[in-house]
Amino acid sequence: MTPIPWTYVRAELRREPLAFMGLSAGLFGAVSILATCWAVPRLPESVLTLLSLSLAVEGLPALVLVNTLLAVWFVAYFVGAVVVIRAIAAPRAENGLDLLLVKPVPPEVFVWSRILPAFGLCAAVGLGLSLTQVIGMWGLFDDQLSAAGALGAGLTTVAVAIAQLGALTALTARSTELAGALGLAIAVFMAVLTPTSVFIYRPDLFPVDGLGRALFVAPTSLILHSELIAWAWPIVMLVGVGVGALGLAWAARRVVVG
Amino acid sequence: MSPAASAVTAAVSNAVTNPALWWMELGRRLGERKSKGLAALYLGALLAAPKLLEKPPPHLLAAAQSWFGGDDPFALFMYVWTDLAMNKLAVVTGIALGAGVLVEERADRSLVLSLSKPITPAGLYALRTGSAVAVAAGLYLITQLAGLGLFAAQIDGFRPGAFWLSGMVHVWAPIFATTLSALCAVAIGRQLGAALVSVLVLFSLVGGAFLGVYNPAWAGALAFNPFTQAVAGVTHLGDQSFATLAPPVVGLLVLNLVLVAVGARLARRVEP
Repeated sequence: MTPIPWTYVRAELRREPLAFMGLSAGLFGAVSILATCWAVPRLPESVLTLLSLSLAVEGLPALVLVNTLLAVWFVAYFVGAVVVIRAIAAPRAENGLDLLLVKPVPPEVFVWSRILPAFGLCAAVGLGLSLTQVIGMWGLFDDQLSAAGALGAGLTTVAVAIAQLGALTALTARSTELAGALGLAIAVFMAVLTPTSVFIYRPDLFPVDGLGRALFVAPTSLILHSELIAWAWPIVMLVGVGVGALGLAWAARRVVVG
Repeated sequence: MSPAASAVTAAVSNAVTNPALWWMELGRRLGERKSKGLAALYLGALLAAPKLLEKPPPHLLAAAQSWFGGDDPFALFMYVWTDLAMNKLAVVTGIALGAGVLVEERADRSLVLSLSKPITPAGLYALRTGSAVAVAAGLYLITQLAGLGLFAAQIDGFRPGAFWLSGMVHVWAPIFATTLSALCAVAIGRQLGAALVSVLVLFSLVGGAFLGVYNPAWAGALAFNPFTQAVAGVTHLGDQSFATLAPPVVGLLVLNLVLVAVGARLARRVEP
């Protein structure tokens, strides 16, 4: 095995304005989350009942959390997705990737050192926003939903986002157009969310309970199983990072064309 | 000014008003892969929407009726079609078509070539944004027209007139998404940074489109949201009229003209 060129890896880490991106996206997400924590309890009773029936979760804390989880997931994923696209798809679209790939760096190291900052940024922003939602919901927690459960649910969505970023890296490794790569980024996000949207209108298509239900009706099943998630989230995080790593390994095989 | 110089000046100022140039630009737009991809998404929405509403839960039917009045299945259909399908597609359309204006050409190094022709950066911006808006609106209206034929047989109590009128107001949602994305592109100057800002802002606005319906106490404060104005055809499903639908359309028209004008002004800063 060839030794890892650390100088190169460090140079790649400094390439993106990660702190600026993380802080500005995180600030945006935090404001949205706090606004959601303020607004959802103030919705009319009839709307809350409807939300509760549609998403099959009960209690005000759960209804707030469904909405804030979406914000955590959305911001953490997209801020990472921009770094992912800037790493490989953007230089390819600008006809500059060949120049980068002629360096004496193995494709694996090239992909890892360019994408790991995206995973790190996603995780950092996701952690910050998960904590923000716990702060925003303070005082709402009850015996059905604890602060640890809300934090665990937030970090689980971050794990899903990291797995999605790995998939996005593999899918865009040969994109020649930036717009195409962006479209794929939106599609990868929507793909995981679509079953939940369908569930609202066609609950009859889903199993009543069991693993099938828990996997497909994503954010709400996290809340239903929040006691489990409160301690099991590190396992989900390991799985998420593992899936992300698989995506990177696949991307490394695809990035050099011909 | 010499005759040659004034001829060049005339060409510069007239380039954007030349129909042949617009025709070529539109052809180029329609040939782009993202236009074809978007067409596929709109087709998917047409096919999926009736499936989604085959067995609606009773609590949703009751809610749609209490919010929008009108006939039971039709009100819910209009809500789902506009909010779940077309609102989300409007955002995707705007980012796909708008977020690349000028910065995409700069990235593939064709901008320097375009700007060596007798056209100003502002003119080129108007041309590229204009064709993006034309494709966005065209895709939307063709989908709505196809839906008119398709849904009449599939949706109980379908009212073609109300469906079409609502679409004529809501077509301004993808147009707004496109002009805002294009403005972000030239204001920020980096395609992906601009796309990220557009994604965050547009999805937040779209998420709040119906918030004033859920809680009428907030309707006044939330009226600034262009997506709230664009869904007026649904929120006024029971009382669609010139008085309820014309103000949103006029407001959105003015807003979009302002966005294009500001973008054209900022386009001068984009370095080829």
